Amino acid sequence: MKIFGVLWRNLTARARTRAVADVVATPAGFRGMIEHDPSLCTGCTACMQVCAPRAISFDTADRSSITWQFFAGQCSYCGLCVQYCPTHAITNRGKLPPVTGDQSLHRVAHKVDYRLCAHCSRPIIPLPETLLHDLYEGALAQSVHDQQALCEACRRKAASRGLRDAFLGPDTDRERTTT
Amino acid sequence: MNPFAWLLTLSRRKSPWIYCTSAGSCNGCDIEVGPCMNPRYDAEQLGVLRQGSPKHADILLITGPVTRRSREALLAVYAQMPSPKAVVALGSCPASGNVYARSPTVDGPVSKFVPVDVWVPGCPPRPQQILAGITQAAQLLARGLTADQQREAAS
Amino acid sequence: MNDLVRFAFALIIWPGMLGAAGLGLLYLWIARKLTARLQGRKGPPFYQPFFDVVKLLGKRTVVPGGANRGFFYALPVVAVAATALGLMIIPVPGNPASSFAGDVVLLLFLLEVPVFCDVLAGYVTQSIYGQVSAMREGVLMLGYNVPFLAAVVAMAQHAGGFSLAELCSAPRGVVGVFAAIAFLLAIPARLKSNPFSIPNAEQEIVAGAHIEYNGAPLALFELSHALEVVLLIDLFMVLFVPSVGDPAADALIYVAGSVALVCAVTAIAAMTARMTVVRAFRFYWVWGGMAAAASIAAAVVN
Repeated sequence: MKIFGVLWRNLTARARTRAVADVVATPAGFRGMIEHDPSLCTGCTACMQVCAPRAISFDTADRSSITWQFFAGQCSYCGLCVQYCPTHAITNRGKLPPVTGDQSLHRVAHKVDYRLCAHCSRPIIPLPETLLHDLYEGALAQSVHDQQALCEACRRKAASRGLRDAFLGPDTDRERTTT
Repeated sequence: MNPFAWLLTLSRRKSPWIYCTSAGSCNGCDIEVGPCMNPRYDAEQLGVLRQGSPKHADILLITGPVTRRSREALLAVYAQMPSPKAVVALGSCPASGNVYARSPTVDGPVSKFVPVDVWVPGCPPRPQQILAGITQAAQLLARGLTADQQREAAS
Repeated sequence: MNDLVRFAFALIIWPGMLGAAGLGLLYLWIARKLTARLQGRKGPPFYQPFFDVVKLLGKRTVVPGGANRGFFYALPVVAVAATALGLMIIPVPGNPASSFAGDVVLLLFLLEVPVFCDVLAGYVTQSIYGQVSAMREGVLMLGYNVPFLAAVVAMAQHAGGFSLAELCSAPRGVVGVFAAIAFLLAIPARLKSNPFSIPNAEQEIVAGAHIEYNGAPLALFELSHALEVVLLIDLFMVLFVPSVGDPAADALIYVAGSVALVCAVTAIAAMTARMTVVRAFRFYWVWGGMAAAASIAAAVVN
């Protein structure tokens, strides 16, 4: 007999229905369509390696740049790429991917140009400022800025030279075997 | 456009009947279609009815990456739907296969088998996105822009 | 000639095809909207059943392989024609057609034709679900016709003749009460609504007898369902609600009573679950049989 109460309450109260345009707010932390900032991307491919459906890929055909490619129609919205990106280039603001008949709206391609190493002229992508602030506390020394423009091999050499100078003193009359 | 044609066009937008088929999906997207008929989202306010027979439907909702076993069923369902008809692909699986893409028992994106008119991305998509996809498909039916209608017009 | 014009008007305009189609689609909308409201939903807009029928008319028809094309296309047409003819002769307010002796018998026959068309549709489509639905509908018909026919026969016996005009003008009485109860018991099953929706049980047999129907034939079946709703409600009003003499008041009572009946059937459908065909059959032979016996007894005694 409780059905009468249920029906009466439903009939007299306003319908709980939302209009289609009245979109329900996504909850906090909702994993929507990811966004990629090419100014922060270093092309490390960590996102591609953790992406299980292989929605993220890198196009390395061009010698002077690397292109980050993403297909939202392949994404499983797990958020691992956001978690593992070391420079926080990939973010998730809970944006809903568009419903469309044109699948090209689900494809994103961002080109990141290479720069040349200041010492050996190999193609590199310098570490972004935000990562440097994550790595080094406080104000950044000038040496950090100098090393930002080097490739990882030259940066390693510069760091080990600095270490040797710190232990053995300035190198005015030391033999040099390699530079 | 004469008044009968205008009325017919309007009716295609106002009365989209759907049929849902799973092409080997994990059922996540199928579960999200359920709330579309519930009091909160109520697809019937748009005239949407979920039909049990593909012969009664205008819009086909496909979930799943088209496994080898489900391929014949999917093709049979699409063939049984009377024209004009629209196809809505729900989720990532029909668009690309998602995590199942390179499996030997998965036959690839659904666009290889049926022409898709609306893609609803998400894993799974939210019910209101599914309703937006159905509404878009109904608009395409009314304007004669679905792949099936354009193929009919061309032949 | 004058008679022909009046019958043609009654068949085509009111209370026949056009008028009853409009009214029937309105009743179908009321049923859907009330069901939605009782479930806490918003429900479809008022023009929904009309656009459903128009959209179906615009679809290309797919005939299942192996089905008899003649029967496939003819059955819905026959169903619509039978209900329209039934509406032509029923003396609701505003019907210009005159009544004739024996038109009650004709009306009862015409009311059975859409049911037979549904049963045959279940078999002609060669679908197993359609055949199950046709069998269930046949069994259910054997059940609900017990109180239904008994109610009509009791009223006719009480009025003294099988003419709708006599039934309208005869005083109702105790017979009217028992017969009304028997008639109302049969209405949900005739409309295939809960708890007697077993012939088109969606979760079990997909879509019932109409599973393979599509396009214009399905639109005609929907239309015949709408006309059948109007015809049954008209018959109830004619048999059991007496005229008060004033035509405006009669029309008002007709409209109000029809809407009330639609709402009552819908509310019962919303609050009940479906009965299996055996239980429904038993229900109709036990309770429907008792109501039928009471009406016949009251008619014979008076």
